[in-house]
Amino acid sequence: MTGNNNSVAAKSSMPKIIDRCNRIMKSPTPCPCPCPCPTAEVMDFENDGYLPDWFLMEVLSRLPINFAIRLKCVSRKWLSLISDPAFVHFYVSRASAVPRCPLVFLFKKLYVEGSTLTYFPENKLTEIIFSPPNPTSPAYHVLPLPNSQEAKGKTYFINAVDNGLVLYRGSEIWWDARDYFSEYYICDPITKQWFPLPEPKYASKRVSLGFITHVEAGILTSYKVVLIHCCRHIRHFLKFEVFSSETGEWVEHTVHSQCGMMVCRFRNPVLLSGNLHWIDFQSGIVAYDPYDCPDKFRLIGFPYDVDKKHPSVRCGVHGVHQGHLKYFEVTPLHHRDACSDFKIWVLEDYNSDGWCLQHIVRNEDILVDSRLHHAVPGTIFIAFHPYDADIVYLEWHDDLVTYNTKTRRVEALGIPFLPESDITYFLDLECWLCFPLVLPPWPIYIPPSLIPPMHIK
Amino acid sequence: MASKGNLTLKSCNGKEFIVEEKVAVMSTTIKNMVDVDDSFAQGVIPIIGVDGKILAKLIEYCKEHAEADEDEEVKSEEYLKKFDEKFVDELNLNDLYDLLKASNYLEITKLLNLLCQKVASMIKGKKPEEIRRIFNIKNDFTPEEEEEINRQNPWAF
Repeated sequence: MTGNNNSVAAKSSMPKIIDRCNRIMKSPTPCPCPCPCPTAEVMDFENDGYLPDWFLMEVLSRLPINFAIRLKCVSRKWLSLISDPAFVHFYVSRASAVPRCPLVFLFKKLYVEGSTLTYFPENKLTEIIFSPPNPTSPAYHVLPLPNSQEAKGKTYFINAVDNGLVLYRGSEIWWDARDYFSEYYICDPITKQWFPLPEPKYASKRVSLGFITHVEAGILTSYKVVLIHCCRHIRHFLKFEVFSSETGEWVEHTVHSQCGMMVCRFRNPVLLSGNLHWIDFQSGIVAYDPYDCPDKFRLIGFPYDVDKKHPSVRCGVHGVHQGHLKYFEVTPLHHRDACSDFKIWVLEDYNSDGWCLQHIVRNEDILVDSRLHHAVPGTIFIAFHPYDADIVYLEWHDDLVTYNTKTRRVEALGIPFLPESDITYFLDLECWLCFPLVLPPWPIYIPPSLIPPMHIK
Repeated sequence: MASKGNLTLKSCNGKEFIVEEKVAVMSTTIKNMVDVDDSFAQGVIPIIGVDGKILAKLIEYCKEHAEADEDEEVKSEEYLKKFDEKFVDELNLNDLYDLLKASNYLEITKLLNLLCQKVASMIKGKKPEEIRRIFNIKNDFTPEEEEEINRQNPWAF
């Protein structure tokens, strides 16, 4: 047996490696020598700076997105590789595998004296809590505002997020419902690209906003913004205004109802199966599909065993978790020094009204992190964890905490309340601290055709 | 001739290494060869384009990981993590590239991932001109072109 016959190169394994590169890049790297051999992909950077594509793909896809983008100007080869959709695909599939896409918390309501909105990546929390945040910290992200001069003195509300895009609203006279006007913006927090939406017909403070986006292969293909009018009185109809990227206009839909309705505007709607879901104090959960049935809504009744004595906004809240609609109830206090009981119901079959009680814990069984206040009146539900089946985010006294349904343990996440000295954070009934946003691994491309033309005022 | 359960690997500069089969088959390329043809297990397997120094490094890595795969208690995840860190930290730039090339060729996925991660952390945050220097890349853009490319993605800076 000779070495040659037995050599690795003589066997079929080498073409396999080339196949692998071709699979990654689609366009094959031509092999400079006639026979496949390991020297075909020289990484001899000392001579000619040649780097094989597979190597560049592997290395660049491990960089944070902004660092990878910055390296486009290294050379023409790097530019074309980083711009190639095949690379974007490769990058996204790597980032989507493990670790999961970064999760950040958006502060929902900010009064702007400076010019920025702020959010924090979860994994940088300790850095922020122990040192005063500074704008150059990598833990610090900034949402752009339309115009820093115009933004001064205004209050901004983050109303909805979908597919990593953020819908927010600026308003000037926030304490007075009369003479009220709002500006609506859609923004990509990664690229900081933003654009305004035309004003809806009925500007009012008493609205709640929903946001649905369709994204295909990293490109925004369509979106709708749904504004639901919330009234302090019981009415037998619901009024929706829907903005469609297809028409660039707001369209009004009034949908009548058999029963009395009073939609809660303090809670953001949650999105599941193409439907936006709002809590209605009277009747249950309103499910609305602005794409397929804008002139209808469905009512999903509350679980039959919810606390009916306290229809307060703080008691019951809905959310989407593990692909199901869930209802989280913080039952009212038994006495002042206790924290509340928690109950979670799940709607296992979306098309039915059949809620199952999934989790219940008595206040005395909740294990509280020693760093936290032990007893908390009126804990507020923030969100279900986007990936973890056991984790719920809550506002706990002055902290953002996680509650683990398996261990019944409450632990602090430690988001500071004031991100920046020139931004004032309000805590009032309207303000539910913050909510999580999963950042996409690669920025969503917003085609110019989906940006509504604005009339100059 | 290697004893049963062992394989002999020969570097391009003629150095021979007798390694346990479980260590050698960390390389998918070698595993496929052994699976397809028993005769490899008896003879010498030449590893073309990989010299003795690099092959010794490869074997060192594979040995640790093969043993850890076999018995998690002896070599814990933490131990492996430390080993990996030390392993890449001790490499100079030339060896790093040679190892990358060899682990891609021999399809040692775990090592390839580790090395690529190392290169990524090496270049993370570095300026384009530093990157060009590290990889000996010629800048084929004019300053205007370079500026234009950067202008297209202001958010990345």
